[in-house]
Amino acid sequence: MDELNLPKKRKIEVDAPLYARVLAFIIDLLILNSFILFPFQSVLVSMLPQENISQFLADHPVIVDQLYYILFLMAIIILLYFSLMEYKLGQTLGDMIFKIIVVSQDKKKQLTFLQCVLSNLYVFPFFPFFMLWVMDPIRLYIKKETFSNHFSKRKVVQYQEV
Amino acid sequence: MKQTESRPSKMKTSVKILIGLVLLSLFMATTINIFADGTLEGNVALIPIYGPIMVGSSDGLGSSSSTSSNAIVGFIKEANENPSIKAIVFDINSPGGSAVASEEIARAIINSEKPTVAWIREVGASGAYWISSSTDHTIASPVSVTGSIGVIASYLEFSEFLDDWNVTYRRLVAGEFKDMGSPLKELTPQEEVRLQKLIDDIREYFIDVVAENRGLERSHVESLATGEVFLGKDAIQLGLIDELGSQPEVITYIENELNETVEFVRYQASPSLLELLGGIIFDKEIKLSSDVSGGIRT
Repeated sequence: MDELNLPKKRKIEVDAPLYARVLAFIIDLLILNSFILFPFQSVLVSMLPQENISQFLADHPVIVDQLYYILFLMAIIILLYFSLMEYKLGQTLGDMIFKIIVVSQDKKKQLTFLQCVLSNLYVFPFFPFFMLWVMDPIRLYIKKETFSNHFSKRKVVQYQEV
Repeated sequence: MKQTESRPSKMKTSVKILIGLVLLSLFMATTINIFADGTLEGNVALIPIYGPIMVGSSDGLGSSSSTSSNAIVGFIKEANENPSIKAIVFDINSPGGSAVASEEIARAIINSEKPTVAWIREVGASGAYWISSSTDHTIASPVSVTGSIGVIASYLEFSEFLDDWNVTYRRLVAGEFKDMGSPLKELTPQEEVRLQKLIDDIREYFIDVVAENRGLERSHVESLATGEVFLGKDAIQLGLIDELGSQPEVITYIENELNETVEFVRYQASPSLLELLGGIIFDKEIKLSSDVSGGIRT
């Protein structure tokens, strides 16, 4: 029987939907919290009282400094998770579930590690990076692209077959 | 970006990255633990007693909703064995709890070789007052709630509810009073007399302990042992506490006792990872019979 000469399916690139990106991010945070950052939980629990934390921190400024260092180290681990996964695979574990891929805006170029790091600097809970916690979602909602991705020249897409 | 990577290859890379990050996380946390261990040094142990007092482990999830006598007795032992600790302060905000647990902690305090202070916050009643009376000095706010010298073993009885629903309690016991206090059957007059005697005996013991600890006449303590609560401003008049105040007064008292500046070091139970992630761990209070659902509490 002759083979049917059907046109091959094409993959087209579309912007990843907002709900998928949000859910993927939540899943990544859960993975980080449950499997990667758990050693820090016991450190924080042993440093802080179970009640009146704000009063305790006000009474112990040395502990506040130590907390900042610990948060900085945790942010480094979170940054490495997102950057390495996106650089090596183009997607994190949460992205894999929703078939989201991160690519360079310049189609001729591969995504670089620097691009991945720059686009994930919002994980640092310090000025000015925490401003991205507000600016990125607003810009994402309006322009379908975050400041982080805009400056790192990346885009977050899905491939759909047609 | 390696879009052309096969799925097994992607999983391999993912696993390698995750393992690497977990190892890095463990290394960083261990390093922090090594350097952070010495930063909370002090000369006065601060042991919190929050929430209901029970014999077993505290609740999980990092919450402070109950206190374990096992943990507190352990902390008191630790503080006694630590040469840098010169005094022990109990930060109390508890409505009481298990009679046994309260007695265990009180006994450990009495046997402590170091000066002990009870600092009552919002509530230090019943079993928590039992504990605070065992310390060398008790400080409370004028509006702290304390006292409640008495015993409670009340419970809900469902016998009539079961009758309404045609459910029968099949009584199979060896020992007439084995199911005394079971919520599934009506409490008989003889059982009520026996249970009442038990809690009366515990109350008498409670009164003896408070009278001895506070250096008060037994008859005076007995007159106060109606279970009623007292505000701090009244408790000091009644001889139940030593001083009105809060943290500054606690610090002043200890500094006068020790002749050195107070540096608190907090002793508290660190929930394990499983306790943080796995939910609340419930502990059974020690019960006189397996069917007394509420337990006996002070």
